[in-house]
Amino acid sequence: MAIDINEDNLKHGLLGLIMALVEIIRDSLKHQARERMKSGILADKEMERLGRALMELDIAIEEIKEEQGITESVKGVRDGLDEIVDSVVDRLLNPERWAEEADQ
Amino acid sequence: MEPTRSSQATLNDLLDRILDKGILLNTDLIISVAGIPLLGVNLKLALAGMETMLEYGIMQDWDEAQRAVAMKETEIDRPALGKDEYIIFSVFGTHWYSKGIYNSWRAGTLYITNKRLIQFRKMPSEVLFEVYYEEIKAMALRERDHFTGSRRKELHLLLREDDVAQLHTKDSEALRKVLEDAIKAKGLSLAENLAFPDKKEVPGDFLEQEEEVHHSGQMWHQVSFLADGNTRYQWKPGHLYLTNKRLCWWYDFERKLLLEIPSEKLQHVTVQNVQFGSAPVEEKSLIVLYKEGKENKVVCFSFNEASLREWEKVIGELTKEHEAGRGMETCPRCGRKATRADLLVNGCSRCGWVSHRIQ
Repeated sequence: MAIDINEDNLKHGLLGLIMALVEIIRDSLKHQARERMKSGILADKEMERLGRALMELDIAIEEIKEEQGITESVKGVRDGLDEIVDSVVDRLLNPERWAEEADQ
Repeated sequence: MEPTRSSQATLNDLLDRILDKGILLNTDLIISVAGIPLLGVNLKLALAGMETMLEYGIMQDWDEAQRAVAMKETEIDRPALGKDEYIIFSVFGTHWYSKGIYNSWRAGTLYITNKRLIQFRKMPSEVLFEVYYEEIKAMALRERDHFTGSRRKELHLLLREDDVAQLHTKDSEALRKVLEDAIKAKGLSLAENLAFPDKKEVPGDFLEQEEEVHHSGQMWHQVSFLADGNTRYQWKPGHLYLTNKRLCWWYDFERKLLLEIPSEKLQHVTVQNVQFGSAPVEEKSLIVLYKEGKENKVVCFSFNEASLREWEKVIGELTKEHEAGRGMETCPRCGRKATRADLLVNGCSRCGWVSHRIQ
């Protein structure tokens, strides 16, 4: 599956790709932050700071997306990447499909 | 409305799973060409979320130390203000900082308060530049070339003792306006159209009273020094100045004069090919002959040829003047005094000595 980058507007496409990667990293960091908070090691003050920093990051990303008008293209890139992962995972989990595809 | 759950796996699901479980990679790799091993790679990699790392007891000390450091850092997000002081305006901006070998635009937030102008950096927190309005004599917007090649407007402040502070923001005009209003609100006035002392690259503070620079330029100088009892030579970067009193060379790195020759001691100047260091390449250099006591000495400079020719001309005019003034020489055979030109062209009228060139 090809990632669909709008050719008419390379700047938007490229920016969309970069922002999509930034968002993916942010989501991963958020997940890890949740894990750390659940573990109970962090002090209240640390959790407060962590939460605020992530929230500020969220706001900054949303602002950039809106400013550049790339909300849609970022979503497109992310959906595209998710579909690739889905199909790869699907194949890895179901080796019997390989045979089916080979038959075709 | 029923909650639904998409069975589709997303990239983030995959990443979260990977980071939660952790990856361990242990690889030995040899890259060889034509059967000969050339590169060796010994790779040990562990990638996981911090929680997983801690579970396995990896990086525990580091985690604690890092968090302790972060806790200590009290976040200061604005400069400390005095009593009755409040911020009128703030904008991101840069200030030209030049001290010793450090020359650079330092970035921070410019704050205009009712008392002073402050440039403040958040992390690590520091006041980079501050000036009270009483110290500002005048200000002006100047167009300057930026090193990126564009021209941009900078705000120059003339301070006491004729220091000039250079500031820049995206909209320097707006900064100037706000700053002017703040200064006027304090009841202070600014001088109009005051001549700014233009900051020249160097001439350092070596100039004496009533000394003027006639010619100056960047110039490499072959410096001799003693090492292990031998004289060694080294080319050093600097600036050459010809003033109405002397020829002197300023060493950029140590910021001092390493060489000065009173202009009446200058004898001769020429541009010649000189071997550079131990390289077999010859480069055009400026050779200056001068007298120190009774001895004749030679110094060697180099830069691009055009500027060398210019220097040759400038110093040449000077040495010619000297020759015209006291061009007396003695006949090498009988010791009769005569002008040098007369001796060289016509020979000695007493003993009949003639220059080898004429013979």
